[in-house]
Amino acid sequence: MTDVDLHALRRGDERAYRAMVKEYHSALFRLALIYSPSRAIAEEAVQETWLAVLRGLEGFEGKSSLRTWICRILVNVARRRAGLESRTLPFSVLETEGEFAAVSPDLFTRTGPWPGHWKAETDDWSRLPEDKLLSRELQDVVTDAVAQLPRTQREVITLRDIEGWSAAEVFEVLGIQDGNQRVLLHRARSRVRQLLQDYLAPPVLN
Amino acid sequence: MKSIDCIDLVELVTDALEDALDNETLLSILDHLPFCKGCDDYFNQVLVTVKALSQQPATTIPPRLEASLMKLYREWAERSVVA
Repeated sequence: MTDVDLHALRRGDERAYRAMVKEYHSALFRLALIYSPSRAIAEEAVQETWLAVLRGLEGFEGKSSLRTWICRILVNVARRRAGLESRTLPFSVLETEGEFAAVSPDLFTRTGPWPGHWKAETDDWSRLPEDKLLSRELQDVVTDAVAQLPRTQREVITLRDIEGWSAAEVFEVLGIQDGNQRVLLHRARSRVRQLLQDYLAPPVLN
Repeated sequence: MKSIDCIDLVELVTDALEDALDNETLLSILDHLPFCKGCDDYFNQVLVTVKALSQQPATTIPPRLEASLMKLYREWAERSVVA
């Protein structure tokens, strides 16, 4: 979105507005789903967001980009509708508590000449064909894995990895600083990787 | 240079990809990877995971919602846009 687009929007240019609604829908809907029990309710949150965007359009000062501004509105709308505080809870309260391991410690040696090293080989994904990665089935595994994540992890991985936003933009939308974002992103990616591994090479049950 | 164990390396993959490690730690990882197939494969698994996430299909807007949002805009424009 450029200044020209913003100007067109304020002028009542339907084509510019429709293009923007289409361009941002995927990110807005994905974010709304995090707080909504159904797709219908997520769509309502998206609709309420656009209403708030139009009401605030004249006052938009361009201090942030239009897309981070709109997403921040969406997050506030969707959180309020879900009965959550619109502001992010202190990070420490949410998910930093408790032990975390990206990989189960059982997979590493504890003793011997190389403590802390892999006990067995790790799966080699370097020859995974591109069409496998893009397959509907694998993509459904990824979608389900993300949907199972704790809320703040899901927010961060959705914007960073699925939508491809920068850490600075995610800070603008969610108010989570870089260091905390990295912790959340690490945990989220680790979990999705684990579920992908279970899908690609199901664990052998004893 | 300090050495790093596999069990610790797996916790630093995101920080490494985010360029958030000090030089010494980054060098210890770069020193470790070529000699450890387990960690090399693991690192690659994380990269594949990130790539798979980036390929999640976009949701297109349902026509009914699009129509409803266009109506909102027309109503807004009638009120707010000075001809």
